[in-house]
Amino acid sequence: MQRPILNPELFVFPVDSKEDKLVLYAPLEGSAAEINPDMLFLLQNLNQDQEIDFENPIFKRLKDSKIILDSQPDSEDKKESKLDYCPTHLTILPTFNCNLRCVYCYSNGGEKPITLDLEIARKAIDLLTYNISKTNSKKASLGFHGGGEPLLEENLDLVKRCVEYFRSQMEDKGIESRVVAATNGVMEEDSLEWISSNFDFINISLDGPAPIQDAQRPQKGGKPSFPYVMNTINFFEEKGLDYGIRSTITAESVTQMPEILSFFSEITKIKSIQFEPLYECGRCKTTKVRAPDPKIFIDYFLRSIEVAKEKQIKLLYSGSKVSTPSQNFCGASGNNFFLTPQGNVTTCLEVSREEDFGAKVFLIGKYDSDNKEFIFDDQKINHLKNRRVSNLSHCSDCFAKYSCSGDCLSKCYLSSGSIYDTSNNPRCEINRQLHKAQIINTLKGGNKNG
Amino acid sequence: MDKPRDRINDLELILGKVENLIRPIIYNTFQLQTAPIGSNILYSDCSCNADRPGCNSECYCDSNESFCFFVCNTHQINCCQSECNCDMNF
Ligand code: SF4
Repeated sequence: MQRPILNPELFVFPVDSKEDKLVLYAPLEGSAAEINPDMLFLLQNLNQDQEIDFENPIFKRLKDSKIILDSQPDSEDKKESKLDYCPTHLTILPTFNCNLRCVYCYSNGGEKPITLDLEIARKAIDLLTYNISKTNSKKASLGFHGGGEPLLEENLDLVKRCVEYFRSQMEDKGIESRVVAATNGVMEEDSLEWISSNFDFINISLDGPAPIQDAQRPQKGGKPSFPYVMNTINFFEEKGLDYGIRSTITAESVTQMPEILSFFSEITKIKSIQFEPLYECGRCKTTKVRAPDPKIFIDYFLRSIEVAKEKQIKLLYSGSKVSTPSQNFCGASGNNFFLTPQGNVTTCLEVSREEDFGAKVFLIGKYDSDNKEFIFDDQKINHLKNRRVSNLSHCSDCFAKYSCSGDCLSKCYLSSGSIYDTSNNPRCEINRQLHKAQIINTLKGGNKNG
Repeated sequence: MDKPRDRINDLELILGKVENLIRPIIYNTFQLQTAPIGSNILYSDCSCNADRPGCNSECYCDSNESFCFFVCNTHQINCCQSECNCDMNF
């Protein structure tokens, strides 16, 4: 056997503080191995002239898992990235208006309640249709999101017209279409009926049992929202509409995460739940609601994983995507097409108003009502597209780089003033610790070949 | 936060005498195939590594990224990267 080389994207970390067991991790291969310090020493000195028995089965296993390689692979950085902006998925933010006043709302929903013009929405769907033909895509999706509450009763007519227009355009072209939304779940019976028959998936924001939900997500006049959201969930379950729950975890609720999960599993038939730590922005400034301490969040998230296993629920968190290594955290890196109520195109839902802090970075286009077309700023798009984890100096030597991908662009921008500076983002610690725990758990639990 | 240094040559252990270099112990190795957390709930959670070894699906993502998970033919869903990661406080 010729002398092998180490995978260039190979990382190592101790299992615990004792340092007598270590984990080797090759994220681009989805491989990890538990080793002892002797083995680490050997691998660190692999290119020295010392005699090593490469016929030893251990080396075969390391090779099979691509931790060591016969030759240098193509560098990920050298692979070309196409910089065209040609999205085939559209998300419409119909309004900044909202029927709730969540204490942490990133968008100050309900304030300055501008609503989108139908003509602009139709033009955006036309552009989507054009892109689909251009790229020969076979599938397309239309989403609705806040700003405010996208499925608000008084705007439902706008949403209905958009969905009808989108479906008819896609049907004409034989394109498989999918319609989704994120909602606060407080809606009337008539709306529920129509949504159940016209949407493919709904993500509902629900923070926990009534005391938590009603304290964090009250209605506009202060009344509880919990009974309405539960009514919505029951309705969707009856109609068989696929839905998910997403909970914002605050400093107040963080120690109740496992109970929140148990509670949901008892009162719903939910299969997956997403927990996200609050990031202080928007209305937090006036309500003084606090983000959870990252260490406490990690601790209780890990406990929640145990509950999730027992209840057979998939527990999700955006900052650690083990099974889908990626250069980009999300489509905010110059791929998204989010149409705001003011007729702007943003790539990040957290930056939707012209006066938002990140507007000059994330608002990449605008509808020109004179010429009846969208105008895009290529320089801004390229700035976003180049925000790949390979271009982030703080992340270059981090084992979690391809699962975290440098984390959320807008949070990095808020914390440091640049989407390329990831060093001040409190989620960094959470992402590293949770990813580490995922790897160690998987090593302990399953998929062993040796 | 300090810049992480997790590359294999960055870790210096305070080792005693290093013995048995030719017969190291590996406790186990594995291939990660699924993960309990981490996928994008809004656009579903396909763990198919389109365009990667082991996945036959044809990826027609328009990004031409090295890791391209936009639409998976095998699982027939839009997956992972496609749009937002939805971690905002909405
Ligand atoms: S933000 Fe932190 S956890 Fe994420 S890749 Fe960068 S250094 Fe690693």
